[in-house]
Amino acid sequence: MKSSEIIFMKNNFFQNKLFILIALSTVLLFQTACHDDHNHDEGELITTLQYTLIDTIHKDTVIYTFRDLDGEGGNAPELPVTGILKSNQLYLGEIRLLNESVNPPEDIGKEVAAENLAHQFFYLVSGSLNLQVFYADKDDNNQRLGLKTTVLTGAASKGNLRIILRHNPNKNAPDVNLGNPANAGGETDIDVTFEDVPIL
Amino acid sequence: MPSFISGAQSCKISLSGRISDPHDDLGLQFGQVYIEETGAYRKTDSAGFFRFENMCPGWYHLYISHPGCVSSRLYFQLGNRDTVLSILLEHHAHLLQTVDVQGVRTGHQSSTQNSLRIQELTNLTAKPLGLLLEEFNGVNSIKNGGNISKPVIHGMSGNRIGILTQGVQLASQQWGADHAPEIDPFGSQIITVIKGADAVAYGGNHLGGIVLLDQEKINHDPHLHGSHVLSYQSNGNVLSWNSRIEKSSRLFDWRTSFSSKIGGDLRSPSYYLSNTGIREYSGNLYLYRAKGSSLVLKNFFSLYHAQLGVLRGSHIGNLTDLEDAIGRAVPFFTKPDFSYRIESPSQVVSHIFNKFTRQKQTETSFSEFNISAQLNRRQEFDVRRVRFQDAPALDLLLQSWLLEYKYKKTEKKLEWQAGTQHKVNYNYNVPGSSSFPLIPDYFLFNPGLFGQLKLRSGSWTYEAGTRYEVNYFSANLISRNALEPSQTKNHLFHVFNSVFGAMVSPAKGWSMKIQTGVAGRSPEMNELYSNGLHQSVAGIEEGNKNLNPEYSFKTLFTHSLNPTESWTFELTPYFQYIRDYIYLEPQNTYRLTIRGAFPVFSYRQTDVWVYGLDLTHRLELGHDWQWISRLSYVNIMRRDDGSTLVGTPAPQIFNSISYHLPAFKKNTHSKISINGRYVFERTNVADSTDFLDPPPAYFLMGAEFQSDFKFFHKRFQFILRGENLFNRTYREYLNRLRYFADETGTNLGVVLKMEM
Repeated sequence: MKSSEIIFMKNNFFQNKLFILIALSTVLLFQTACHDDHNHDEGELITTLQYTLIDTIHKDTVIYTFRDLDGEGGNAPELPVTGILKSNQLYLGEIRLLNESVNPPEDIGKEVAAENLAHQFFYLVSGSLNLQVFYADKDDNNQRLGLKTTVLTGAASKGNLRIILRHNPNKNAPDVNLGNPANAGGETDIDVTFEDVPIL
Repeated sequence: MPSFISGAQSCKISLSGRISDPHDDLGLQFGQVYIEETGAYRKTDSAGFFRFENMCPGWYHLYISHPGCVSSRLYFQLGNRDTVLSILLEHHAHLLQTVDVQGVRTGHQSSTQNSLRIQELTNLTAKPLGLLLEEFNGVNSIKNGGNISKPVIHGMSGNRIGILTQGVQLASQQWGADHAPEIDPFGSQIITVIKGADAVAYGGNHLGGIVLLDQEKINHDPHLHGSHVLSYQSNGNVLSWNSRIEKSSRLFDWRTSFSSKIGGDLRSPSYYLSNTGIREYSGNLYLYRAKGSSLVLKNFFSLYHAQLGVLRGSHIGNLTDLEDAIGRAVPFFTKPDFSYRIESPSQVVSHIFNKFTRQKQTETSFSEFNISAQLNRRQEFDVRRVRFQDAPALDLLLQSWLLEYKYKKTEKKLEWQAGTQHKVNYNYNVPGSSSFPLIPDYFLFNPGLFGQLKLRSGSWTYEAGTRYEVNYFSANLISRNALEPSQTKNHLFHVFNSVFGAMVSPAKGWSMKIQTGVAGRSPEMNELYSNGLHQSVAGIEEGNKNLNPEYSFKTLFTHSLNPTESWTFELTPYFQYIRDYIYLEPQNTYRLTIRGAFPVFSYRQTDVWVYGLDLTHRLELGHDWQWISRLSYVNIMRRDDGSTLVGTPAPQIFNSISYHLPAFKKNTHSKISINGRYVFERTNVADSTDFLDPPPAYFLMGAEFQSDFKFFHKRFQFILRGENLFNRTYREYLNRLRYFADETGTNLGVVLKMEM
């Protein structure tokens, strides 16, 4: 056998081996661990907003709730109401935020309270509803937060109450401290409207 | 240095040759031939000839350049006799529709295609792929700010465009305007756009066109060569660097390339676009081993990693936020100062790719076997409450494998090719995002078969091809309700493609092509199953599991005339009918959520007409002046009501005039050019389909100075480039950020390239 033939054979062997090796390694290269953990826990979700209003004198309780357990898609949200607002009363208002899609439910309100500098609630009244909402709490910089409020009802009337929670608003922008979200910016985390709220 | 002088031999040899254009064999005047070992250089005469006398036998590096040409380098052995070289230089490669494609692995000879090569790429250093491709006529890009962009070819984008690196479709998360392809274009040397719908040799759903990123052949040269490019961009203070080195050795040839890019906040004429920085790192290694003349083994490995900031003011929570943002003069969260910092919202994407190729060639046949694997990870970070701040809101891992075999046979007048591809994709939502996945986990099996024929007869060339493929999806749908078990949904789609093309060249410098074809595209996972709030567009997106494949019937005619080397006129009208075109339709309903009411968008199918025109005109006056003019127009029109679909690019006109400056030193050439781009307003879009009317027309001026020179025996290239010179405030229809902010203002770029 001539030496050139030997080299050729050697190389041929080398090639085939190399070929199989690289081909195999390409396939195996990206083999990753077995995926069986399909836990897509929606920890960030806020499913429930509860606005509880307690009459300062009679201790009557009115609760407005917005609840959407399956998040954005799927079933429509529920908006149950317990109690009824009375005219010319002073109420103490408090917001509860929950994620009820997990068990046990999480108190998101606590997180908002902890990150009070980055959040602010806005309460907008429309229609002929005779109702005024005042901020009753402050963040760590002494600016508005709105988890706690004081609510003053006027004469019997009916209208809409809209509650907005902004994440990262500019609290120094004009009118933001007066409860007007127009210049606040930031992302809306909550925007819920209770329609035809009556005051008797 | 090579040892090219051997005492006994006579140094009386002559080396002569001719430089010509491969398209028409015309000799190229004003070319330069430079011998690196001796420092001698010659200019070509009016017929393209050059001649060196009194050369010694030995090995030489020759560097051949021509203004307006792709320069090339040659390493060869000068024997002990007078030698004549014939050198073909690609002349104005990016302007001419390349009709005769060299090489063996292309399967699309009758396609309408354009290429950009490494030299032209240098001018565009630091541009992402989408913006870079705007250099091609008929190609636009959809953007989400300055760093995130993807190509639109003849009005088609996203799933309809295939981006192929080394012939393999880039497995990436390409749905939505805000997911850019995960690739660094500067890791490749040749970028080609195929506008036809006919590329049957490539698998996948490329009904709208294909972008190919390829490696140039490694020169057979045992010395280390390469280039280093440094660039700076004033807008965003972007610094970028790219190095490429290559060498041919006895065992194999290799090339490796590395890039990195660091940029901060871009700036519109009147404010900073806060949080639009970028970090990008990439590298690749290409190995090539030829065994004799018949067998070739290749391996290509690449890595890519990027962190991209998204304009802070574009992150919104609901429709009211969007309406507030639209009305603002300056976006929310705009900071007064420049910063390199990238905060949420941002994207972190990585891509790993490996491909192994084995080619075997005989005189009349050619076969190729490929195996490749890809890993793609995409993490998107939103502005969230502190507890979730570091967790991505979207975290997807896509793995893809491709097995491919092609066989080609060439007979006298007939050439045929057949092949098969088998692709497997596995897409997985990585847990820990604490949010509901927009796209389900899925598995795709995609086998395909194709055949192609090419026949030459006189001045006519005919081509026909067909492809059949199957897309089998298996999606694992999970429910929001943790108690409900996940469901598996399977879909099987059959897709056929066919194409026929004819090309005639009635006279030298005059060619016409007509191409007509049917191409199918099966629905993709996002179109079938995306489900939920797409916050960036303030809408709830609903997939439609009843979608069928869409079919395109496209006819494309190219008329190319270059009667002389200095004049080119090219016209490409095209016409396409797409049956069951898949698009996102606003439903006239709102869905109530805790964030307020959102409009619902659902995937629907309708029949559309797509028609348009690309026109390119180039005129050289003397050898110093050059005028290039381009015009593109496209319309995607619904068949039912004649309205234009949202996202159809606006018509535009581009003009550039360049002048070759007289050489101030020997062996240098410099060029200066100015250009203007006028983009019309997009009209006839139905009002109800978008939150904001298309922006008005605008005109932008640019200029460029380029100089090639030698310094310490190294070749350098210096480029100074200005964009939007008059700092115009404008908004671009295909940029999602047009709802929130102006486009970037003036940008000056400096590029320094060193070749070795």
